[in-house]
Amino acid sequence: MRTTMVNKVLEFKKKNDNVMFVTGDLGYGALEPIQDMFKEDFINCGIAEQNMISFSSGLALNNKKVFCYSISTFPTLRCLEQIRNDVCYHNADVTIINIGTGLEYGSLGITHHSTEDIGCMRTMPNMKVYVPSCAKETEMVLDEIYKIGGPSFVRLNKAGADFNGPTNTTINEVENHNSNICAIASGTILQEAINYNKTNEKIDIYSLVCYFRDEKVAEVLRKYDYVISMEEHQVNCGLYSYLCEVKNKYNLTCKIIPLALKGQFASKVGKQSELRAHYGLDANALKTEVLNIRKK
Amino acid sequence: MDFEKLKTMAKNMKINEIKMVCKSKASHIGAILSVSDILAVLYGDVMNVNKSNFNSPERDIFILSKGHAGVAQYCALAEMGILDKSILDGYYTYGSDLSGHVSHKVPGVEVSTGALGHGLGLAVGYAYAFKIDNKPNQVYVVLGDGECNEGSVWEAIMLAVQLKLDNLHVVIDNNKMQALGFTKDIIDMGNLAEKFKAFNCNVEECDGHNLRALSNVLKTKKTGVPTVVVAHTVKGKGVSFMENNILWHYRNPSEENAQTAIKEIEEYYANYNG
Ligand SMILES: Cc1ncc(C[n+]2csc(CCOP(=O)(O)OP(=O)(O)O)c2C)c(N)n1
Repeated sequence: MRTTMVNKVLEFKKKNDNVMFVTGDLGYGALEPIQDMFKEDFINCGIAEQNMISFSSGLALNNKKVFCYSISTFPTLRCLEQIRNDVCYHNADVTIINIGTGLEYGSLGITHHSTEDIGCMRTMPNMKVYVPSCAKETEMVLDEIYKIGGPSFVRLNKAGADFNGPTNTTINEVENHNSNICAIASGTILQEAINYNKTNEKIDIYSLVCYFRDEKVAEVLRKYDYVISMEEHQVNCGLYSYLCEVKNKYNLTCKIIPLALKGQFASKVGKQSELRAHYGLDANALKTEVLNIRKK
Repeated sequence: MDFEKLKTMAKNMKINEIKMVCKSKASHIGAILSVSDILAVLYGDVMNVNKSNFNSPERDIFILSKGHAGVAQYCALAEMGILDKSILDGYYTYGSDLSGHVSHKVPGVEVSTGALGHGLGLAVGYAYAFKIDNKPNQVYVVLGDGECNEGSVWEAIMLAVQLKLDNLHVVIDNNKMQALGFTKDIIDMGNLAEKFKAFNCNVEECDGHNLRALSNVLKTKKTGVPTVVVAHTVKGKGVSFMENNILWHYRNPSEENAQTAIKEIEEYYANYNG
């Protein structure tokens, strides 16, 4: 997904010289092609994320199209007020490209887990939140952002899930087995749902990409008795909350069951896969929920 | 100061660090080797923290603000007998408390860090709490020079000066590199010692790999002002192919790299007299 992002940004620069790229001293082994091509339109702001966001807004308010890059919680939580006031309130054309989100940095420890970012970004007026699950969705999201502009947040991981058939940037059907249960995953955790279906009672699977086209999401929810949400994020304010909001807004009847962090820090040390298992976010946890539903 | 003891401590720490980072396929070995001599002197010679008091209210407080070098603190704690050496084996693995960035779940670690620019503010809080409670405890905090890009570092030092925190000791691991290269090419901080002087701190400078110099300088203090020690260091110190090479901010040493590195560290301390 990171490589996809780099290639897309290079493509945008060819089309539009106003495109700029800003990093917070990160992107070793990835951003070099951008740096080479962008020359002085590539800026390393140093380890200073608050300023990086204000600076990006200033550029954007002066006709630049800015892609702003960092990892973990640094381009979101560290500079939340700058995002709110400088980017969102001024409707500045700044896209936050966030790598290494969710529990991707596993063993590095909780300071590197980005598990509250969707919630924080989603509450900001004007902010468009995108959580692609695979390279293809990343590509489509970036194309959309390039076209419509304004404040956007793109939550990425280095490697995407095994899904090549997306058709839109809102919610994509990944597998359809005519089940009355579906899993809606947001981001690369989609892989856990795909893995579950390989060896268990097959359920329908969706990838939810953006958090602001409620009607299309409602169309999906309407089809199911049970919806299991899957996210590498706190249960409040992320995917689960979003689906509950949509359900309520459209008076739907499905039961929504969350697989998410339940208001806790993932302070256990372990790889991403081990943390997913430990905190009940993986294929096994999904299996348990499906079995629970079938027991009823 | 027991020079031989500190030398052995620094050497053992670095050997363990290399082994741990190699085995776990972790990053940041350059940053870890850069700060290890400083930590050896702080724990082994300067701070009032030891096996019997590390949980008691009398202890001094240490904060590793550049938390990505957490391995160095874990290894220092092991040398001090605060952490059982066998615990080091679990580093980075499921079931252990030893995360890559330093974690306060580990005995002897006061606070978790990893997002840069938090440690100094925390240290100022600790130091002021000791002041108003009339306690003699000292507070030590180690920052990276790249970390000083963060505005929060300067917000914290301004408050420390205003509050006259002479129980606060700030050490800058000044290796002139950060994550994407040399600081002079990213955010050129110029002369960091002069900058802290301009903020009215008591500022000392020394070779951050000279154990005697570190021992002297880290014990200095001045009434009514915080002390900042700008320790001039080398990223990857003691391992020829790692020194000043940004690759080793990221790359994990192979078995072969690790063996060579350990040999070089052993030779370095065998010939070391600083
Ligand atoms: C707030 C924040 N931004 C970015 C990072 C990513 N990061 C980790 S280490 C590092 C470079 C640190 O440089 P310096 O402080 O000089 O320490 P050194 O590694 O050189 O010892 C960066 C940018 C981080 N950990 N925290």
